Amino acid sequence: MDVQVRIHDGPLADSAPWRPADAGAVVSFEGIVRPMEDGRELATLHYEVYEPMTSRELRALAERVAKAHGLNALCVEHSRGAVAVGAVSFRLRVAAAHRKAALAAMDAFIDRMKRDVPIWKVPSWAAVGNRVGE
Amino acid sequence: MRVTVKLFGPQAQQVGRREVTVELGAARPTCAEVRTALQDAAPELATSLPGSWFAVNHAYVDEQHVIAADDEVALIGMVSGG
Repeated sequence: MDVQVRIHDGPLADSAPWRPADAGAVVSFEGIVRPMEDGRELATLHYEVYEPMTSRELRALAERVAKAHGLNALCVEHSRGAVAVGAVSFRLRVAAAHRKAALAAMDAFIDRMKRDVPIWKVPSWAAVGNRVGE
Repeated sequence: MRVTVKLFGPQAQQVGRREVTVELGAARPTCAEVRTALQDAAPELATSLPGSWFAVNHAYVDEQHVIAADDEVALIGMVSGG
């Protein structure tokens, strides 16, 4: 079982194909900075991490999820710093022998990450007066 | 004992600074006591503090954890990764 955790400065670049050995199912998820948040136009999201705790918690979560779902491999990447609208700030890839395990693991990991892992996003808004309805 | 608590993200924004220092009467305070002191020292955190956790030296701890003089204490709340 191969677990990889990476924190990148800025947006995530396009990834190379990822095909762990013996996997029958590979599922990939990318989190992209949306243009609107709470009816306001975003310019950028600034991601904060608290190292080394953030990486430790991501790894611990990855190992728990990989073990619980019998994964072949899991790779998680997250941005630190500024990420503009439309860019990728998070990528999760899981590989398993079969589809159901891969999809369930993907969901379980993201739910727990959003609740437990010390990563924060702080918005920078576009020009004043861009709230919907104004 | 004086305890400095690191803040991040929205909570740091709410308070307007990256850390809050509280003065406690106990020589070895618990996280529960620090939480109570934070309520007074940083009222801006009133809404988010109940749902936040403490980390000491980069590991989550429970409310009964005793803080030592050279520990690094952080408030982990309003996380929003992904």
